[in-house]
Amino acid sequence: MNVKIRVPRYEANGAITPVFQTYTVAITPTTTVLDALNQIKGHQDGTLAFRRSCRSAMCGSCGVMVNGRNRLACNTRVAELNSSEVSVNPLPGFPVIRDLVVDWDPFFAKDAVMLPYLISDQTRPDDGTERLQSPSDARQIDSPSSCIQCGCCSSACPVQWTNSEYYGPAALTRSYRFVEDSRDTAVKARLDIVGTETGVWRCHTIFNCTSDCPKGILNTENIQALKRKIMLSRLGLGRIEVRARVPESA
Amino acid sequence: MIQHDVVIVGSGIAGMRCALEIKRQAPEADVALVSKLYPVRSPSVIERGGVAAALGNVLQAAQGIIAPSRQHRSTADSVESHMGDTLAYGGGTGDAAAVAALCGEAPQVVYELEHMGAPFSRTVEGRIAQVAGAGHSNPRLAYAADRTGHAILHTLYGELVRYGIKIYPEWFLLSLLVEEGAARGITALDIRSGEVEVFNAKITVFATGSYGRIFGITSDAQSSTGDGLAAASRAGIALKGLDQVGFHPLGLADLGFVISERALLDGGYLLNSAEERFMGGYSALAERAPLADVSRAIASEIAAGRGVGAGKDHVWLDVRHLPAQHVREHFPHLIEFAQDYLGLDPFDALIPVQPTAHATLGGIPTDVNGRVADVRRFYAVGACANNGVHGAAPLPGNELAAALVFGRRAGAAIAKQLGEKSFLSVPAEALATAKTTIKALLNQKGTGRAATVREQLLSSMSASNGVQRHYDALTEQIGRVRVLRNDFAGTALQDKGTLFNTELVEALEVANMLEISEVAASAAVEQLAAVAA
Repeated sequence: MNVKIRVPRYEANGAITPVFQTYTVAITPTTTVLDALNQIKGHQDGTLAFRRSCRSAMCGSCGVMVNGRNRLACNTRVAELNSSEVSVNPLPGFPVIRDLVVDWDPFFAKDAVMLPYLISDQTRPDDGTERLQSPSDARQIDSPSSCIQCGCCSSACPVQWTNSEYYGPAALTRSYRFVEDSRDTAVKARLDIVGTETGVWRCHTIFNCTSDCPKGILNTENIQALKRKIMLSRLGLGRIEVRARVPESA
Repeated sequence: MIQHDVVIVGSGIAGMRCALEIKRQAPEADVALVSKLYPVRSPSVIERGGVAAALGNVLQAAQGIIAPSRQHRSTADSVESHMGDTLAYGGGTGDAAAVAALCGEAPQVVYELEHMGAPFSRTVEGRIAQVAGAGHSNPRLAYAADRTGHAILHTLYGELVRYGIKIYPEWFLLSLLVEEGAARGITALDIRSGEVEVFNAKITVFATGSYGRIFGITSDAQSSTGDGLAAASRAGIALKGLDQVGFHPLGLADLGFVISERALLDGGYLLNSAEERFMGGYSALAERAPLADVSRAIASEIAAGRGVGAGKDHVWLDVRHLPAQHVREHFPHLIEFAQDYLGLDPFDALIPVQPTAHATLGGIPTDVNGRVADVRRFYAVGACANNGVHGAAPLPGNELAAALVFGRRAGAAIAKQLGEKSFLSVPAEALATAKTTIKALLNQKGTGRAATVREQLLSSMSASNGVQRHYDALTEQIGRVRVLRNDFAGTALQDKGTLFNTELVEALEVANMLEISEVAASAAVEQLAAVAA
């Protein structure tokens, strides 16, 4: 079966208006969008630029907009799209370097603002072994820590489109991952970072970030949880210090 | 020219762990990572199973599904037990000193990850959860859901941010600069701008990952093209053991992604074209046999005409009889792969699998500190290094452990000697040579396409250098690779630009894969000849 793939070409000279180009690709029931792009690049047009690496939906390289939804090219089968012409675009709202290749530097810069590492003054066991964390506390960070930084969420956010200073759902979920970690004791500092005008208060609960996350992370809910924590802590009601819920060692 | 005390090429788990150790022990050291990917995109991210370490957090349970109530702390596991398993699984050929270092320090590197905040799964007592793995006599794989590599990679990336370590993302390695027996740095292409630069370093580290992409059916990333190995080889370093590749029996058909062997350990079946279990005929352990044995058994079934699928080159994985809740909880990726890539429901349908190239063991020969014997000031860690720790086959979970342990050891060794080292000059013609390489490739004339050469290389390498190897097919393959190298010289790029030229990058990767494939096929022939003699 043949399917048309329509791609905007941003010329190497930095033109801001794309020229759309359509390629015809033969597909099987299991051909993915990435397979189709690889076919085009390998055998039709070597100048088409896009990123790829792991092909198995873990590295986050190949986030693109397919038929109006942000998805990973590598785990989207063309056949499941049910369209004879598939439109593939770079992630919207991100600066385009070329064709489907966007600039990741602003995205990772926002991630770095979130202090994406554990900050803890909890004492560690004297014998050098692990700190204890209950399975339920571990499960609390299971979903937010499964983020692969593919950018599908932040790029789907209309607030981010109009305000590039907004941290966006990916960075806020990163913050949430540490705020919810029972081992982290910098909760106050983290909430101060996200509780600014470029942080959680910009979120208008549009839910695009949740519906477009390839990993099913509830980004919008994570942002609302951060808002609640900030409000509670301002009212002096929040339990923002580290929770000691680990059971005694047997 | 760009100067840093230490330049680490590659930003996977081994490279990042090395960088981190240098910064911890020598805070004033100027360390930079150069990678063709952004760090969190590195192929380490696809390692799903756990990291092997004798923590002894979980008691051995009866074979089959481990009931949570039976998970409690034990002292049954030990470093000695881990060493014994490692040596046995590697066919007794593992390097004793390397195995001792790996198994002895694995618990420490895992605890350190926990201290850094890695989101490990937990036992009911709150300790790091561990699970049984093929070849392990105790539940030893410390895991974070079914994405352990991802959890470790992202944790280490956070540490890079914490320490402010300089990262050069999307720079492609062109050459290792060696003069008078000492490494002086590298040349690399800035993919974004098309500029070529010289990186001058007191010490150069390769952490460039595996070369699994020379196979058509592989679990490796599209970017695991052996770039560091090819560069080392071009610099005159003899690569070691490139024929040694660990095959995983549960590669998703045609795609090669690995379904965790826990699907077998926890009671999944392998079925042939008659939909009959066949593993019992090959091993008393049936589906719980070592992975290499399972791979060989599948290859035998396929060779005997009992394969399934259009090419009769798959067998079925059957998990329909396992409790759905257990499958959902312990291998969600199996469901994800079946649904997203094959459009199948694993609770209802059989899943086609075939052996897939999973762990490339060959590499740059090093000692237990990552030091390369032939070249001073040069280290190699992770999948691109070969210190003999795995022997003939890597015990599941040992590759992650090795990336951490030997990354850290190299970092410690480098930190210790950095103070006494000064910069050595780079060869005068280094930049010009690298620029000429790029210009020549951009201007190469011909009618062929590099992608065609790549496709022919991959399918022929999988056919000849797979689980079952034959002398004639291997010698024929060496000749074929030489023909393909010739074909490659007759390919031309359509993209002549400088801005993010991914066609140029892919051509450089194909050149590297051709170089590595020839060495690998030659090593396989030598190995067969040695066994025959």
